[in-house]
Parts: sequence; C-alpha cells; structure tokens
Amino acid sequence: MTDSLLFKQLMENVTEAVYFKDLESRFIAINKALADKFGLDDPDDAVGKTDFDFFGLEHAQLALEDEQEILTTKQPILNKIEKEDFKDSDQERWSSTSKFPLFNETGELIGTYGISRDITIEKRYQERLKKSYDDFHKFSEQAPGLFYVFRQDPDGSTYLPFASRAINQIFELQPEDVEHSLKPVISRIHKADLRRTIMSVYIAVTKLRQWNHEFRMVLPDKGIRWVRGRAKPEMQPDGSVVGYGYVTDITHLKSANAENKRLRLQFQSILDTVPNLIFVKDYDGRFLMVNKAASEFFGMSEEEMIGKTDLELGETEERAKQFLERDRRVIDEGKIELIDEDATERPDGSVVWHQTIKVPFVQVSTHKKAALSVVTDISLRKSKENELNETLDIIGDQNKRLKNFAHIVSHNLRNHAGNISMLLSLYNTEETEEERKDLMDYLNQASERLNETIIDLNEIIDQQYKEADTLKDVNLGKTIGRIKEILTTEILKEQVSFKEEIDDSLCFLYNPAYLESIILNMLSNAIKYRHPDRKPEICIKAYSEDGHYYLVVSDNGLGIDMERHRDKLFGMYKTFHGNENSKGIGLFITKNQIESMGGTIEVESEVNKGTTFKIKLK
Amino acid sequence: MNTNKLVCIVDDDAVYTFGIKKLIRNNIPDNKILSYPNGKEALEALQGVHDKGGDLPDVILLDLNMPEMNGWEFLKEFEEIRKTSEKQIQIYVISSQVDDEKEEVYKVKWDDRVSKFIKKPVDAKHLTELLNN
Repeated sequence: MTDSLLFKQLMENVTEAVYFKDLESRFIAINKALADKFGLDDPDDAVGKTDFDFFGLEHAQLALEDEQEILTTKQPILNKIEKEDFKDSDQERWSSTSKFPLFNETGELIGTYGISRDITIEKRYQERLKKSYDDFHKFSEQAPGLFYVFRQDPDGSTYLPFASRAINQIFELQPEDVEHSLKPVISRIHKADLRRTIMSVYIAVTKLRQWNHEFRMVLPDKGIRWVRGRAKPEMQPDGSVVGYGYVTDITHLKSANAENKRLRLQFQSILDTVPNLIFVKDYDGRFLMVNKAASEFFGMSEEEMIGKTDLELGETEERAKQFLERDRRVIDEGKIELIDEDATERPDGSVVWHQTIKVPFVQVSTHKKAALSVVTDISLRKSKENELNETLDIIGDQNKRLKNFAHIVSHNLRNHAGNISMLLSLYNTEETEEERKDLMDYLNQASERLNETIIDLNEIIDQQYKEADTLKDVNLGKTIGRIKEILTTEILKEQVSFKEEIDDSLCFLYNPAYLESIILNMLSNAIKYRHPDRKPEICIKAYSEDGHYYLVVSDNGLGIDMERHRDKLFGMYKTFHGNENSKGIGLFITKNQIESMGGTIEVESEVNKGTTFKIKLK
Repeated sequence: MNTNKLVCIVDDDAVYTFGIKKLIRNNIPDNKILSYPNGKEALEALQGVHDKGGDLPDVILLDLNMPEMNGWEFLKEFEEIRKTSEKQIQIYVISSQVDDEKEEVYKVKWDDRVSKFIKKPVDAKHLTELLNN
C-alpha cells in the first residue's frame, strides 16, 4: 500500500476534522469529516477557500491569528478549546484543536495543518455542571449553615472534597483548608466535646447511620460556638464512605434554651412555693397543669392529676358539674371570674373555705383554650369572721337584753308608782278603818315591789358593769359544795337528793362571784320549781372536754313548755310558773354572766318531766 | 248612765287589781267585778261561764304581760267564746307595755277585738269614762 492510499483512507474515515492550509491560510486539503461540517459534498470544493468562507468572523479571525503565530514561531498549538461559529448558520460548536506548522520535503515552511475534535457535547455537560455548581453555591449562600461533602477513603483518611463558603462563618476556615484533610476542623472542636464527636462520626460512618450531633467549636474570632451537624453517609463502590451534610451554628438556640429552662425552673419553683392552689383545666375540665399546693390538696401527685377531671378525682357529680360550668363560662366569655367563698369538706370532715379567681388561659404548647384558677385558702379569715360574728351576736344579744331590761324596769317603776298614786287617791275615799288598813297593806305591798324593782335594777347594773377581769383560780367541785351549804335549809326542807358526777380536779380561771351566782341560781331554780308530786332530784355533772369546762344541771321538776317559752326563757321578768317567789331575773343574770365569760347556756325541758341546763362555762 | 255592767279584770298585779276594783266600786257602785291573775285562769273561768249559758262580762280590762298566758294569747283564745256569744263585749287593753304611738298599728291587727289601748297607770276619771260609755 502506498502512503498516498493510507493518507486517503485516513482522510476519508477519521471522525476528527483535518485540514491543511497554505501560507495565506487557504485550504490545500480537508478531510471528509470537515467537509461534512462545512456542508460540502466533496472535500475538494474547499480547496483555495479560507475559514472566512465557512466560519463566522470571530472564529475565522482567531484561527487566522493562530496560524500567523505558528508560521512565525514554527511551534504547534495543542488541544486548544475553540468556540466555532458559522457563516451560514446560528449554530455554535466547541472543538479541541491541535495546530502544527506544515513543511515540504525540503523542510521549507509551506503552511499549517491541524486536527480538531468536536467537544460540543462535553462542553455543554461541563457548562451545565458548572451552572449547577454555581446555583448550588448561590443556594447554599442563602442558608445560614455549611453544606459539605465528607469523604473517608478506604485508607481511613478523611476530608471534605466540597465545602460551601459558609465554612468561613461556621469553622472560620476556607474550603481549601479541608479539601484534603479534616484535621483543621478537628483541631477546633472543643476539648470537652472532642471524644464524643469523633465517636459519633465513627459510628455514623461504620454503621452508615444518619449522623446528627451537637458539639462546640472553639474558633479564633468568635470563640466558643455551639454547632449542630447532620449527614447521611453512603458507601461507595470503591469502599470509601461519602456523607452529604450540613452544619449550622446553634449557639443562640442553645443559650435561648438554657435561658428558657432557667426561667421555667424559676417559674415552677415560684408556683410550687406559693400557698395558693394553682391549676389549669381545659374545656373538658381536664387538668393541664397543677402546682404543688394543688396536688397536695387533692392528695395526689401531679402525674396522677394531669388529664383527669374533677369527677375522676372524686368530686361529687354536682360539684364537678358546677366547676366545669364555671370554667367553661370563663373560657367562653373570656372574662375573669371571682368566686368569693366556696366550702370544701375534707375527708376528715373539716371544712376548708376557698376564694378562687378564674382567668382565661391559653396553653402555650397546644394553643388549647383553658381556664387558670388561683385558689386561696380563706379558712382562717372565715373563722375569724365567724368568731367576730359570734361576738357581735353576743354583744347584740346583750344590748338587746339591756334595752329590754331598761324598758321593763321603766314600766315596772311606772306600774308601782302608778299603783301607789292610785291607792293614795283612794285613801281619802275610804270610810272604815278596816278599809283603810286594807288599803295600807296594799300600799305597803306596792312600795315593797317598788323597792324590789330598784334592788333588781341595782343587781343587774352591778353585774353588767362588774369588772370581768377579776379572775381567780376556782375549783368547780368545791364551789358546788359551798353553794349546797348555802342552800342547806331548802335542801333539808324539800328533801332534795343529789346525783353527782363531778371531776374534783377541775380548776380554771374564772370570776368567782359569777361562778357562785350561776351555780346558786341553777340549784335554787331546780328546788324552787320542783314538782309537787315528787321529791326533787338534782343531777350535777361537771367535766372538761376539748379545753372547755361544762356544768350540766338536771332536775325532775315542773319543766318548761319550750314550744312557748324558748325565746323568752332568758328574758327579764319572765316567769312561767306563777310561782310567787319567781321574779324573772335569775336566768337573765345567769345568761349574762356566762356569756360575759365567753360561755354559752342551753336548755332542754319537758313539762312535768324536768329541765336540763347545759352550761359551757368557758 | 249605763249601769249594771259586769266588769272583768285580767291582771297579775294584785295591787293594781285591788286599786281598780276600789275605784270602780267607788265611782260606779252598780257594776259587778270579776278578776283573774292571768289569761289562762280568766279564759278557763269565762269558758266555764259560757258553757253553762251564764253571763259573760260586758267589759274586759286586759293586761298584756302576764305569766301562764299573756294578753295577746288570751285575745286569740277568747275570740272563740266571743264569736258564739250574742253579747257585745268591750275589751280594753290596759298595760304598761302599750305604746301610745303604736295604737294605730295595734288597731289594724286587733281592730275588731280591742276597743281601746290604754297605757298604765290609768286614773279614776279615765276609767269611769270608759265604763260609762
């Protein structure tokens, strides 16, 4: 085969474009591939023409300049990437061209030749890739964190073949710093977190698990920063592991979290310290939150209470319904509600008084509408109030009786005075001595009554104003004994028998005069109002209970019709038996004396059976 | 002058009762007088008289504050007897408990039962006028 034949076959068949040009850059010959590119059926049609006949001006000009250079330097231009435009079409192609000087047999420079490979497709891929890469960079700049590709080669070396520019902020490094080694990053991990962090990477890489880790960096500029890294490792065919990951700075989150946690703890400790019961219930009446005081009140742990309703916590159906309605009203109307007083009976029977403020509330975590209740124990206040009311009642009572007393005394005085004046007016009209004597008797009687009334008046005023603070140690048993001695005559005369249950050790501070007066009145009443059909029996009990001292005196006497006289029993000048000795001031004084010492007196009686007075002395 | 009246005194004050009796005898000697120390005794006695078809009093002088049965209670109980009697019975409440200013109030409540409320002490002239009406 001749060289010419070889050349001809080569020119016919290679896919690269081949050309030969003279010193004026005119084609001497082109191959089939180039003729196709130029749109020529016969490669010979190109002979004598130049690049300007086929290419666009830009490319043709650049090619001409290259050839001029080769002709001058006699040096080839290798693998030059060229953009080709065309004279007759808008298409644009890329090629990689090598150009050489062309010599004849004698070594004389006669032109240039070149071979050119079309790389348009590669170029396009490259461009697309570059664009993706640029896009990715642009996107990654919008994210606050660092995007990276991690790689661990089979030999164990680790590095980040790709790191977005945010590595500047996150690690204060450049992408190049980590391109071949992870060491610059590792050296900046906080010592306390280093071991933990390396372990987490090791586990993620060896087990191909999602990596999700928070750790501290110590950076030259920003100092200690918290970062969170995550990556998805993938095994490569060559045995290396590649992870696509993201790292963000979470320092602000961490400190916000810490602050949050601190505030929550602080708030919780306040909630748990206050004596008020504080709880939140949702629209269905389920507890969402309770503080310590509330859980203690219900006798249940917080965990036991959460999610339960009042009914489930043992409230009665009625009360649970009432609570639910109130809470719903607060939630529906969005208004604060005050429940001034509410009594709760404890399992031990004691009653607790509460004041409650209910406030509309939104649970932060769920945005659920709820009602917040703050409950204050007002039992102490309430009992003080009751004490005060009782005292006021007694004072009011005493005032009423004093008024009653003044009223009655004034009427009695008037009556007696009126009687006397009436009798005196009659005196002159009486004719016989006997009649006059009669009249005088009545006059005497009237003046005696007047006198008695005045004595009563003195006695009552005396005891009303007697200093209650002349207190002495008294022995109840001994005092009773003394009074019985005083009444010896009556006791013997009426053959009174006694049944006594007296604790002889009962000693306490009391006004001794009052005590004697009270006992004397009780015993003398029991004798005075004895039943005509039987001998008097008096039962006396004296005992102490819960720090109080009691005296109970029962008789088997006439008894009192309680239906009719209950409210008048202790009034002044109230008599119920038509007994000539009864003046109706004894019980009045007794009650006053007992109450002024802080005691009470109660009476039970049945007509013809007898009477029992129960006295709480103090 | 309307004489021969039967007057009934219901009062626990013996001195007063004695005085009133004297006053009546001195001033209107034709009148007959009954007296009881409280409402209960008066009611029982008058009930007895009425049951036997006897003569009920023309005038009752009634005290209010008395043991056993007071004046108000007597008024209530006596109404039963009074309703079944053809006789016009005048009842005068004479008591230290009567408050002059409250007479109008008493009247509204006791209008048809009590002719007049008089405050103790009552003098001879006043009493005579009452009984002669």
